[in-house]
Amino acid sequence: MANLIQIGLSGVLGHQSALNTTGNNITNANTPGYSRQEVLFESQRGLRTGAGTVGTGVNISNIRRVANEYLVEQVRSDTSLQSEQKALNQELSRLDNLLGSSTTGLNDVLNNFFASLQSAAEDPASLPQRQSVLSEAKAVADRFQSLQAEFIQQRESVKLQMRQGVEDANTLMSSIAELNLAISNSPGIAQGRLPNDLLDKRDEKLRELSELVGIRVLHTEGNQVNVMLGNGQALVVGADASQLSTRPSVEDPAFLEFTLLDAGRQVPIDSQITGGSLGGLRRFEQESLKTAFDELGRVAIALQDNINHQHEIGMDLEGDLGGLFFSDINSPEAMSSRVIANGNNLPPGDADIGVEISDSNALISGSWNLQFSGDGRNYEVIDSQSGEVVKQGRLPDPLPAEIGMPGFNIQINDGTFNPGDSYQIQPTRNAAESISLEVEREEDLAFASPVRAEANVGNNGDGVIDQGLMLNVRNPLSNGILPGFRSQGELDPPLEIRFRDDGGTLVYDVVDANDPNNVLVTGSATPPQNVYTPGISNKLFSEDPTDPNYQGFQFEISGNPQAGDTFNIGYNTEGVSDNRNAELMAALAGKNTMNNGSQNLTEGYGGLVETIGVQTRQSQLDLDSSEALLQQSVNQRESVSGVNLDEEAGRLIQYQAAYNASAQVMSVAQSLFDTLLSTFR
Amino acid sequence: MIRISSQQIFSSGISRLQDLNASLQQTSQQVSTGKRVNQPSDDPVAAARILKLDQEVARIEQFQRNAGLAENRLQQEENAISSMLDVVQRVRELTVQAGNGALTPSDRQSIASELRERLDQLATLGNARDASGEYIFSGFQGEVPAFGKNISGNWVYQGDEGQRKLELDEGVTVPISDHGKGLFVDIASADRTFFAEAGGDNVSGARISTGMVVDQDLYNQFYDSNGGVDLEVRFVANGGSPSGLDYEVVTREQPPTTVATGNFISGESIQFEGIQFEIHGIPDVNDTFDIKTSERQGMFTSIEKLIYGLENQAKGRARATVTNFAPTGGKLYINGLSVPQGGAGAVFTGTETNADLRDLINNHTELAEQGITASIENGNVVIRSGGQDLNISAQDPDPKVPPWPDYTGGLQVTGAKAEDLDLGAAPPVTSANYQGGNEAYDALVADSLVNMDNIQESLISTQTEIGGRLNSVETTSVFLEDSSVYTKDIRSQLQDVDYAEAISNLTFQSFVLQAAQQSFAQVSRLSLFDRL
Repeated sequence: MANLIQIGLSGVLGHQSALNTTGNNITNANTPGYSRQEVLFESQRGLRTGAGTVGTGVNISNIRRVANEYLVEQVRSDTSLQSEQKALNQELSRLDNLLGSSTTGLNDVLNNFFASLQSAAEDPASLPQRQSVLSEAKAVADRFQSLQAEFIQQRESVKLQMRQGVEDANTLMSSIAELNLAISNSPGIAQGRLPNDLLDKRDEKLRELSELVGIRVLHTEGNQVNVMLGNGQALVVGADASQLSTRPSVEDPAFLEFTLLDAGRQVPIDSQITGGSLGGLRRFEQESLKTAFDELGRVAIALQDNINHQHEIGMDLEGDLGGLFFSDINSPEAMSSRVIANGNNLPPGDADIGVEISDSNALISGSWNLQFSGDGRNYEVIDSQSGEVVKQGRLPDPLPAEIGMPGFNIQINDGTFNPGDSYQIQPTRNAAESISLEVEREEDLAFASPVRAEANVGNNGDGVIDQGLMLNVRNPLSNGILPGFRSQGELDPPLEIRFRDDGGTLVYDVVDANDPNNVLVTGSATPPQNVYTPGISNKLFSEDPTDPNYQGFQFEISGNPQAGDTFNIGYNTEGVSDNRNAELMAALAGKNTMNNGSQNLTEGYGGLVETIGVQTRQSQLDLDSSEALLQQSVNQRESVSGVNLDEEAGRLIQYQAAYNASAQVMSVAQSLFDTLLSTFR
Repeated sequence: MIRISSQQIFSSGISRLQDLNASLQQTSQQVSTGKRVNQPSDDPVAAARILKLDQEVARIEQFQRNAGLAENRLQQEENAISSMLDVVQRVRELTVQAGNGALTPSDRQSIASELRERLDQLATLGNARDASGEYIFSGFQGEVPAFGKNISGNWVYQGDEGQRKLELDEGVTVPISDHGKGLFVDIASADRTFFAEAGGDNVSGARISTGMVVDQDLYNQFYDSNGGVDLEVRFVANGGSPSGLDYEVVTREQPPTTVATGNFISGESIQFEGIQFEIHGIPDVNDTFDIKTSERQGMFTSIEKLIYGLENQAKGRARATVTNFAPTGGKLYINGLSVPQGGAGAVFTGTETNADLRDLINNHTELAEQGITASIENGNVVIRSGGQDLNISAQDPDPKVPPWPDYTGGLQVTGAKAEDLDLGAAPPVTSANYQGGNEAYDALVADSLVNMDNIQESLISTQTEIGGRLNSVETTSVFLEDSSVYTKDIRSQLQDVDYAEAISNLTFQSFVLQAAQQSFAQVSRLSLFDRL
């Protein structure tokens, strides 16, 4: 009878535990990372009798955590992927909205600027029209700057997120290390009784860590885990956690790089941060944000370069040459701002390197590393994106040296270079930030061309001269002002084209109009020099800067001039109604001035919008699919480890019934005992 | 059988609802903005094209504005030119009037003064300004009046050959102005002419008159012989000259050839090679005056030359100087009228002196009717016509029956245009024409008529050209309108939402969402605990 009580009691106690476990399951139905537990019953060892073995009740052998390590691992890696895509998509969408919106994008201000130029060309002397060009130009410069400022803000926000992410990761890593210790120290582990709650907790921490960065998890002795980055860099080993941190990148201090504290030394591990939100942020920086900076800068440089050149060869309302419209793309500050010395360069660090934009049309965006090797005079130019060596050579002695790249030149003026020194070359990175309007007064807008021509009233032939085309006021080879434009407000000397008969051939002399005896270029039939061909348009002067006949402008004479006829070429004094230069500036809107003459400014900007748009679109799709994958793996884990309340309700009924029955067994034992007692009364 | 956890039931239900909400939200954003592409990522390729099309639309709109502005400008120019045509027409009428032989000098004066008025009127029209106060015919120099009076009081063009053009479409530009030089200055002249102007570096205020061609044949000969080289008047000091200066007319070539020289007297006509002009004032010895010979003559110069002719040449009477008068008998015939007056019997007796000849002419009633007078100057008899040419003949140019006697004795008369009457020459020249001012004047009137026609032609052809430009502005506008519609259409196809599709999507999506909500509510209500 006592035996029966024991049996009943074991049933009551066993099912009480089972009910508790079920209760625990029910209450933890919504606990993240919780794995449902089940009670494993086993019968107690029986009493062997002659008739056989009589059972002695039930025993709980284990309370098992229902979990599948493979599925947990799957959830972790899918979480990494999804977090990466989510972070990337979030940042990209922000950029995408910024560039695409008509209120924040570049397109509308560019269109307005060129429209204002067109309007002003109709009435070039009108100050209100000029004012409108100035304000639209200001709007363009401002928009470039505000876009750049938005990029910078986003860069800083990404950096902030990275710093926070690293802090979170460090907290998680030390929690995991602590849990490792707690698990290995938990009693009963040798008997296979695992601390289910700690395991769940550790799995959840691991999952949270994988939200931040892609990790690999290795199980080791004593139910501990080691956590590593994708390539094997250890983050947690047993009870020891490493320390992640960030610092300004040695290559470009504007961005962060990740480091790992290893034996008191910061080891850069930037390239190993993949997956998770940190990986996503890093990808956004590398693949999208830098591209956005570089491409926007390229559009800014193309606009500055072209408008500046056209404006420079024009003449303002007061008869002066145009000068700069936007800030100079090749000012000494701008040139040196395109080079960043690596933080690890060895002393003396006295390099004087600049990047000069030589041709905005051929310019490509990107960044390059200029690396020195050997004795410090061998150099390589490496594309930062692809890692390819695009140029290599040896510095001449003495300096300066110039390394020609597509659209820009790296000018190494002076300095000492050590092997291993490197410099980051960013031709367009900050261009959008430094663009500013140089023209301040309406009168200084150069809408006219500085030259004009006139036929002499006394001419006998019907030769007609056009009003000329300005090519440059500087010699493109030396960058010095051409002699004709050195004195303010005049062409020095003004020229007279005088036709002459040279043995039956019509030729023309170019004469200093101030001094008719000073013949600058004498025409002759043989050898042919300044020979006039009637019936076609004859171009005066050369367009080739190496030709001594290069004046910076060209005129055309057509028709049939006669010997003795003269044409005068002079400065366009008082030419306030001339709109030629305004028309040419306005025409830059549709001119293909980028990508080697295949894109205009709008298309150049459109390229950036499209690139970011495609990336955003792609990341949206990737995010969708990674979410689906995560959902699937979570479902798989849930279907094994998740709590089903109906099931638990069933178990509750089941265990309650068994509990009641066990109690009934005890009650039967008692009544048996009572029966027995009353029998002897 | 797959096991499903309770969390799964809720979380999958919720995430499904979220998905549906998100897509419903997107569709409703499409419907409310009317745009299919709201962010570039909605359709990156379309987004880039939309940017390009936006630019295209903006450009077309600007071009359309330009077309309107170009039209205004061209119409303004057209108005100025057609007003000028009216004035030129009146000038032409005045020119025809001036050709009337019966005009008295005072008639000519009054025509001249009306012409001056008209000239000023033309200058005002030539100096027309646009809305922002710029002179429309000045070329590039809009703040400089197109025409101004030079130091000599003549209207000269002060602008340049600049022409303003406006872009109306990609690569299509239309000129929206014409410079006054082409319109009013470079006009073919009836015959070879010249333009007189003070040199640019002159220091004195000496003026040069418009001048005129007095003998076209002579001038043409001169012009053709040297290929129309321009001339220059310069000065050399000469104590013997009344003004202390001699003038010197040289060609503008290297080395210069001297064409004419003489003592300089202010206001005195300088005549050579068939042209005449005056210089007023005391020029500096370094001053120069340009005589630009040309086959073209500006509108203002043509009218100024006509006025010069009306005011100066009208006074010109033919002048014949009798340097040798020793009659032995017979009669002299002046413009067919015999001297002495009377029939065949009235003849010289051989004793007449110069004074007798003067009196015979001055007392001749028929000659007096023609205004022909005689006087004695420097001991010679000078015969002057009343304005017409003077023909002096020793033989009766209109032989009568029986014939009147021919003049006999010695006779020499100088001052003829071609060959002087000289009975002493071998062979003797018995008759000569002494040209009066009228011939040069008539030639001037005839030339001026041709010039006026040429001016009208220049103005009308520019008018026609403006008409053509207006036409092309019109067609470009139509084309721009078309391409605007077309471009906006393409942009709309890329960017705008198809409402029918979007609304049917919206309806369907809200239906699905509703269904999902209901089924979620249903499923989540199911719990075994409810039954316990």
